[in-house]
Amino acid sequence: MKINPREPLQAAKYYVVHTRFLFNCHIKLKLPISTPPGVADRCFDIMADTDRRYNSYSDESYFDKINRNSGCWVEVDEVTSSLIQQLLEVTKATSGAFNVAVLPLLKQWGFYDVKADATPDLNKISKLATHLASHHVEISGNLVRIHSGLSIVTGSFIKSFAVDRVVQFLKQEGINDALINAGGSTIVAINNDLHPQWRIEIPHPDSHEQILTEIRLSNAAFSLSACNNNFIDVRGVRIGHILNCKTGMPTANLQAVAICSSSFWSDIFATALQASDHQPFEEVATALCKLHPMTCYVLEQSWDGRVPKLLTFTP
Amino acid sequence: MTQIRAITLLLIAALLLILGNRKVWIKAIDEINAKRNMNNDGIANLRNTRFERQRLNVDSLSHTISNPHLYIQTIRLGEMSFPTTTQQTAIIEDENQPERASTSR
Repeated sequence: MKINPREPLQAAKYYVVHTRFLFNCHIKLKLPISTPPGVADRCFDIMADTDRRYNSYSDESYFDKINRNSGCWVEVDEVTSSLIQQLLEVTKATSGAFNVAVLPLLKQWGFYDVKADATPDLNKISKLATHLASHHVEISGNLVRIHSGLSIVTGSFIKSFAVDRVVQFLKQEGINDALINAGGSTIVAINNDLHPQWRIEIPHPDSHEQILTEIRLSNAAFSLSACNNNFIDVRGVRIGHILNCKTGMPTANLQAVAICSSSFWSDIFATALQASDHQPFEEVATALCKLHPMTCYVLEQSWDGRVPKLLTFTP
Repeated sequence: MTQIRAITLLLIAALLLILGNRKVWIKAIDEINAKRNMNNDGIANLRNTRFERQRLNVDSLSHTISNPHLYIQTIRLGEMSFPTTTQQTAIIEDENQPERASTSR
């Protein structure tokens, strides 16, 4: 593509796309060409800072310290304690289907130590699910304690939390037309009057190549949770990585979409809705929206193949 | 008889020397008090230090020791430095092309 410098650029027509690999996924920033230099780098710096401080897989992060000192109280910063507080509220709203301390269960299923053709021990999984239900993460001010044997995994929210920080920075810089795509599963649209919405294509739950539907996003965060791209094969049976922590079993739901004003909430809600396969979708969404308003849909196992309707839930 | 009288006189003299000398007693009592105060100060100093004794639970079956007491670890992350990540930049013309959602990362 050629840009003629003699022609005045129309607002929101030309963008610079920056891509970096962070949080184990590709983060794409689409910024107007008029964006001052250095803004994109600063955005990635904010994400790298979040990764270092709060990602449970980063050595010496707050969540890593909590996990390594399980059974003991650990002093954390206000951000970490606030995040955990909100995550515990989501666990409560989903009756335990969503649980941030899911890591031992994921390991038991083989998601973090993949052994070819290994059959998960269902007795151990059942015991772990019972353990998760009765032993929560404890929080007292800036002190956090996770029960011995449990581990927090930040995968369900960390990159979207970083994206929220970037959105805040972009708005401070006066950028009102941009798009952030965090691994495809979380997309945030920032819009102005000249570019009122971004178009998002949602893949079919059975085939990533097919498009199920397209939605328009305007100054909002979109998150998708599905299992078709992250699963293990146990003796020919595909097991998705989203687990219902109440049962310990992989969710039967096919796909969940959540749209909120914050990507942290949309990401958490998409995962929570996807995990809650033993409760009616409306019941879970009604409980979750008390924490933050959202628009969402869930494709349950009995999905008839029709394009789903997005439903808005407000407290 | 003479010997008994001499011994008695010596004992009386010794008693007079010990009991009659008030300064010796005061000095001795002061020394005892000073020593006692020193011990008390030592215990107080120990209490003021950052150490405390905790009773640990020993499980003789699994040969493990656990500490039931609350203890806190402070984390100080300090200043951050960020490793350079690989960067790809492209200038594109955008006519509001749809963005593809996925879970493939």
